Amino acid sequence: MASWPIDIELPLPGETLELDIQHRKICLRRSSDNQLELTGEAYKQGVVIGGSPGMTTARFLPSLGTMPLLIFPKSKLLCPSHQSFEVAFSVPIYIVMGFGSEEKGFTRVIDFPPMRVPRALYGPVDSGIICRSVQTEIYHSLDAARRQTSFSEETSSETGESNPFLSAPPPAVLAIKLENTTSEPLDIIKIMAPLAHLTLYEEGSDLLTNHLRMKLLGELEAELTSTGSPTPDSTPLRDLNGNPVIPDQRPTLFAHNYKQKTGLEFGF
Amino acid sequence: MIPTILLQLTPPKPATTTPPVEAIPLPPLPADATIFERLLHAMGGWQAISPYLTAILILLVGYLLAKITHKVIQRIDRPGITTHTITVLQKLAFYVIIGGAFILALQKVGVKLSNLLAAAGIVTVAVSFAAQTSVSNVISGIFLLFDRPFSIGDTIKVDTTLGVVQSIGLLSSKVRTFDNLVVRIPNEALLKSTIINYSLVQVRRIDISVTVSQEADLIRVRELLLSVMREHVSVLDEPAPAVLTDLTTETGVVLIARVWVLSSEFVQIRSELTTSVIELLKTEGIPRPRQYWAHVEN
Repeated sequence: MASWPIDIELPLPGETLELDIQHRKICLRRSSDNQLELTGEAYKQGVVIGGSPGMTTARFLPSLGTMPLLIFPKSKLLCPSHQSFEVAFSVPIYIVMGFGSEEKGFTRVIDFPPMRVPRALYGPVDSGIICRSVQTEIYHSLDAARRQTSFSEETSSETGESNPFLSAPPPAVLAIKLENTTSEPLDIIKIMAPLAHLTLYEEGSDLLTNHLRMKLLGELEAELTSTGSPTPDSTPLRDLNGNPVIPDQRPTLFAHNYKQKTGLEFGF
Repeated sequence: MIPTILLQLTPPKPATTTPPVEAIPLPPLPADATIFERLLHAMGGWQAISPYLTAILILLVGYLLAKITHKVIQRIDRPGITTHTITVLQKLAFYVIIGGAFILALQKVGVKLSNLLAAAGIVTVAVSFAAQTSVSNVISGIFLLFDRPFSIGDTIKVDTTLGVVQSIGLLSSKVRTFDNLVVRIPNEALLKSTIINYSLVQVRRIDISVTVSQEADLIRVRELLLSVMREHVSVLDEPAPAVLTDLTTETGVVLIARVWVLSSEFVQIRSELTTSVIELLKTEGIPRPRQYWAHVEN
């Protein structure tokens, strides 16, 4: 069972370390005591990374990226009046790499995004927010989503220094309790989760986000709140230096049924 | 009128100056007086020239203070304060300090503020005739600084000039074009022109116009175009890509594919998508119109 963070010893001066991260082959070569060179398919020209002489370890952590998350359920999601139910979605993760040592601490160096990071605009075209877009299946429960997305030991094979959790990390599962407080059934076409509201938890080999509650307040408006740990046994992931990451508990309002203007409405 | 003003600026006259300093008769010059002492005596002694020296000192101190303030404001580095705001503050502070020093200096040499204001009105009329274009540019510059149709660093298009705004001066603004030429545009011309500002929004729409033969399967073409656009990683999922059948011409049917992208990636993605669309239609054997094929509308 994987346990984040994943620590891999950095090569000695003159030596190289090959890794497979998010389906990308990378090569770390230690050119001197305090410099490493990163090469690979995505870094053809190479990246020279400076560091402290005492850095001995590369530390890897999953992350939800740097942009707010805009989730588009693949199926239509209808929430009847005065009803509440839970759904879950899968969210591809980033891998954050940091260098350092246990004694001196770790510094974030580079983020490896998933193979494809689609983006979308939340809000009007003149003032919206650029988000990371996720088009995902709707799972009826957290457990159902975990069964689908869970890391499969049989299909993975650890070769050399590569770690299957780095090469093909399973997506994180995000569970949301939907509550329709209105007297009308409501469609949900999107869920906008600010990054400050989301943190990652770990249970076994599964990655989960904190549990969210989405209260539908009207035809357009919804309120999103973090309700803490997704399961009693899950543990929150800490940052590179082992410090806890605390999600924002304040509720945020967003438009769950806002239909974007594409310019077609105004003719040619 | 102008000679009157000049008379008022000449030293002490009872009607237009501050109460005159009590005149003390100058002692006669000794026979062995130096050239400097003789010069000083000829000018009326220290008492007579000290107001002028003080005025010069005030102007110098004012200029130095204005320069220092200009530099201090330039060092402001706080979130929310843009280069444009800093430029406006710099110019405002510089001219206020210089103006204040100038008024103080004039008062020191005995010019009353009320007379100065009256004179300023007349001078303004005179200058307005003489330097109509410059004054118009200055006023336009002030409007540009406060109305902010664009800021320093914005990408704008004025008539045929497309580039990044480098500076907004009182008389003219400078725009650096993308082939690295600096174009100086008079502020008056800027105020009168239609300006397209490309930096105000973070997303832009690309329209790709595709003409296919009237015999082509339009539904398939539409699906193909949508697939090309959805597959491109930089195309925004929302607002979602769309394909519309625009019109039928003698050469074929015109379809318009519309996608939204980040403004910063506009040119690159437009080029990539156009290439992909042309290649795909070739590969899929979509019948061509009689002449041409795809062009991009900007």
